[in-house]
Amino acid sequence: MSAYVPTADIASSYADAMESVFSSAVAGKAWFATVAVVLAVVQILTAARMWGKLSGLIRLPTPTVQRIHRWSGRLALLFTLPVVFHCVTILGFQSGDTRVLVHSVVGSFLYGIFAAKMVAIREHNFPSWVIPVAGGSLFAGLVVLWVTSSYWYFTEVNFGI
Amino acid sequence: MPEEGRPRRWWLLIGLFAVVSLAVYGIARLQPFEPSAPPAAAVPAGDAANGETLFVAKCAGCHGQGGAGGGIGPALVDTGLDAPSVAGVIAAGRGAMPAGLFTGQDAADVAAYVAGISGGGATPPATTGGATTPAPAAGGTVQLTGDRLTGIRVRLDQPAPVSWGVWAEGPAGTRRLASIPPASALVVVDDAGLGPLVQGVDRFTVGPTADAPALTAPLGADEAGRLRTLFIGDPDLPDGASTLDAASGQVAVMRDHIRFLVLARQERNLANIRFHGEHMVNLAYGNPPEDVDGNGDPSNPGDGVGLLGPEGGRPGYTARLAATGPEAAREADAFTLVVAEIATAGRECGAIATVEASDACVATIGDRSGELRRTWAALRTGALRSATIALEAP
Repeated sequence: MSAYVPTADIASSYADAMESVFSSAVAGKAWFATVAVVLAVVQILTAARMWGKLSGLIRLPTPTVQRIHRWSGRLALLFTLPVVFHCVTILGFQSGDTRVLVHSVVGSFLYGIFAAKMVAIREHNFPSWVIPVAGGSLFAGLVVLWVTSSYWYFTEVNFGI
Repeated sequence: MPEEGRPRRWWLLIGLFAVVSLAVYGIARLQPFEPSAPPAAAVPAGDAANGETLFVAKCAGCHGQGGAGGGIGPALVDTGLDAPSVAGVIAAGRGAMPAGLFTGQDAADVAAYVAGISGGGATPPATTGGATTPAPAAGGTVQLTGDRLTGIRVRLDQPAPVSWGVWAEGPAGTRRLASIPPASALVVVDDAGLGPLVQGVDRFTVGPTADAPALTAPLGADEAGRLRTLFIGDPDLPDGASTLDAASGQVAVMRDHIRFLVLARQERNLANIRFHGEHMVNLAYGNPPEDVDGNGDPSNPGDGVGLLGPEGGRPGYTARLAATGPEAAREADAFTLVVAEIATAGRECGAIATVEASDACVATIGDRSGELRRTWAALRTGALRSATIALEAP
């Protein structure tokens, strides 16, 4: 049996799983990424609150805000996983046009930024600007990835599940 | 402040960032789960015409109209795929493309169409039960390409037996445009460097020498004139624009005003709903503009020609493009239907009495925006393909 069959099975299984809910695998990815971006907005708002901003807007106790921040981050990461799996292992790095190239380049760095931010959070002894810069970069990267994929898909191909 | 006794581990932060980023990049370059090229499949002879219909329905969303590329799937034009290879990809899937998108004769038809546009053989070596179909008759096509027809794409039914040339002959002499290597059946030149190839050219020739061509494609005065108005400029149109450019501009204006109409409904602006409803009618049917909203000032944001043209008046853009060939004529029907629906709903919006009463007509128009873009793209592609001249033995 040819070597392509197992990998074709993985790609087909992925498509089958997505198409059990969505009209296509790409539509499913677009919605997963959208949920991740919404959660990332929650991340930014709660982070701002934890750093003493927006206290007039978010009238929640700090421990609650911290809990929301942690769980929205975990969920956002979870929602990116099916998207990243397909992008990285099946579609791969592409440079067909500017949109695709920007998406590929920024996508390559996103988990690296995430890993760096996790280190900065755990170590406690970096300058105070490191965590906001890392978090802001993570958010900006996610938004760029969403604009160059989900937003493009919704506006140029199909807005629907 | 650093915790006491613990140095800042910048190397860990930066190193982890670099390692993880490089790992993701490396895996993305490897694409470990991308199905590798599936084996070429034996396919029955395919009907490329039916394949194109199926392609438009299921494939063009990702691969673009005519396989020109659509963002999700790769462009298929000039990729050199032959029908068996395409059939293999259809059966096994690839990347985001699911396996088994077509089966049986449908798969063979799509494979034949894709092989045609990809340059892997307009009539690929097909097998039916192991029997090879007969070789096609000698001939081919010359397609003029580019927004100003400055490029050329020559496709031969049979590969060139030796190195051949492509020439343009006209009153100013014979000029060599391209070379076709031995055993090759396709040559594409994005810009031949001679300006629009419908000016000063009487015929294109292909063969071993310019004096003894194997195939010729005559470009008659009528045909050249038709292509000039379509691509270069039409003195009958405002500003002397080409039909394709002017029509494309009017579609863009209509899409803009669809957005304005939807915005007016969101803002509950009755006057603007009626105003933009009137614009839909006048963009569709051209001058003289109708005063649909009854404000005493008939308004048309377009150039007055009209996408459909006034009934009984000079032809609108759709009729002009439909006249370029059967493919454009077929796509023009779908485009006309969408524009007429928009105009009908625009007439309703132009005369509504309350904001709430506009919900149905605004929704109808808003929903048609994407369809307007898609049917326009198909009509434009059909018109672009009309710049194709048959190559025949002299």
